[in-house]
Amino acid sequence: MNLEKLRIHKAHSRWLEGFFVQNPVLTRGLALPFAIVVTNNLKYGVAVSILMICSLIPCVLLSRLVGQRLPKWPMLMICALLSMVIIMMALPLVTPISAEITDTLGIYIPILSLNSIISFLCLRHRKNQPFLLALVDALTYSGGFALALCLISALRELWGANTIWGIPVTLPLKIGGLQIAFSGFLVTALLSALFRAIERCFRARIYRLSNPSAGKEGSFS
Amino acid sequence: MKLKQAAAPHIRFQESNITIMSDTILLLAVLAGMACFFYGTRALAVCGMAVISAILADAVCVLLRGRKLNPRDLSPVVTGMLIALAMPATISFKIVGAAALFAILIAKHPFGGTGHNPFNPAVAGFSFAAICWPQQVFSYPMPFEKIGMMGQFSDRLQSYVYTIGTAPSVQEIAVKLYQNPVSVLRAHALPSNDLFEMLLGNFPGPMGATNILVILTCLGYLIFRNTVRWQLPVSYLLSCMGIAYLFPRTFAGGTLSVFYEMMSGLLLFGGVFLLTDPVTSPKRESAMLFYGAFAGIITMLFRHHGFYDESLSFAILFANAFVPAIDHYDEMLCRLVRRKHLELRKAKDSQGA
Repeated sequence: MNLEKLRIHKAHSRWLEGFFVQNPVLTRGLALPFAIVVTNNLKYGVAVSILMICSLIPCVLLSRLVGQRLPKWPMLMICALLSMVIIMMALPLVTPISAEITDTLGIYIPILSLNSIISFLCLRHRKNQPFLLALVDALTYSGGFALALCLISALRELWGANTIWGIPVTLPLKIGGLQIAFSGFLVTALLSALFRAIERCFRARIYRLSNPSAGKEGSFS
Repeated sequence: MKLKQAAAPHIRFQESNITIMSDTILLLAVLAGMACFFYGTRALAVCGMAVISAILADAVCVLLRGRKLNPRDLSPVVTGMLIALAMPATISFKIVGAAALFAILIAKHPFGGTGHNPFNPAVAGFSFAAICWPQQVFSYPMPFEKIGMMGQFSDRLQSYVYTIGTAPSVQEIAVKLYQNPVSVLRAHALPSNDLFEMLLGNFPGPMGATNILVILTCLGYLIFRNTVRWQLPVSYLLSCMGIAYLFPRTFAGGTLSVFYEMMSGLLLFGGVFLLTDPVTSPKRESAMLFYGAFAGIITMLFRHHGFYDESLSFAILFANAFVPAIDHYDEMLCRLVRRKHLELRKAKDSQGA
């Protein structure tokens, strides 16, 4: 059993894990309220993603810089405060998407300042992690969040309202139920299963390439 | 003594998946035949569409999971037929197909396939259709009205003729669509339908759920064949009747309310075919009694306060979620009773000695 290539793949994928392998929403199940409730429209998905990117990167970097000198609880509070300030400053970035987007998203804008992705990454990079890795993690996790939200919201808008970014699209079926929050759970779960299946297939392929004699069934789990 | 070696299970019940499913299919075929009598061949086409979609989706899922196809597993046929019979005869083929696909692809196989689904797939499929296309799912044609096989109902359903006084806004009428008496009850009014006609199934409603006498006969057959334990449907129907009597939604009093509640919508059909799914119902008979009563209360609560005209499917899904807990506590209760019984017997034995 040759696992060398798998180990190399795992080591390499650590740098970009937040984007696909450990996607914060679809694999780790973080920040689920945003993925489920606000994703009935691609515009909302993009707006929340922009705000998340703007707030997550500075928070993680701050945590990396001052985290060693502070205990956990004030660190989280500082990150939340910083995140809140940045989100308020970044609001003009999302208003061009839609004039009433801040009213429509409502409570989901302020609560974005303390979500599980921010707390997870801030605590993870508080100690003993290279600065570059903290930056890459912040970038890839926010990218992964954006990818998941855009996918979910695009699917829900396309099939639930037969539009994409507000532009009508002709489709054979309009599944209005996709617009309700409960279907956000279903779409997230299905995409999560898809992501996991793709990752498993990819790893299985690497394993089979390095172990050509391994049988097709039961050799890799 | 001659010992015979064989693999487990060594103690078998007479009922198996195939006997339960074939019994149900037989009865659903009777209901489909009645639907064909009332609404023409389109009713059969809708059933066929649902069954074919369910079978194909099931086969694809089984193959994707790396299993072998089991021709003895008739559950997708039952799922398809249940979905179709809970719909009006004018329903679009796309909607029936989508509901069947949802039932198999979302509610059944992600949880492990036949025998492992926590929610009844047919109920989940119907609920999906009810949420996504409520106008089409809750508008019914009159029995014996001519319904074209391939009529573009989904496009022409701009027009509805309501039985509760709303003026018809006619744009283009292919088939006049009416509301089920359950919608009239929801508006706290008394349905104008004759009770005897309702008993015979001569009123607008879901294809398979209006034939009250036939459904009651089906219930008797299922109980006689031991396919369904009597505790479940009886406790369910009794609790529904009790609530309908105590808290009538019409001004005409408890007795009439009971009759109209029981014969309208999917209540009886659901109590006989949807609630009694062996996979999503409790295992012990005492738990079945409790579960049936619980589901009945939830159904009537949803009817009183629900958003949709027919909320039985949501009530069943809600009740399904409690089945593992009911099974767990019932098992604990049974053990407690058994232990107390043993202790009493021991005490008696020691007194006798």
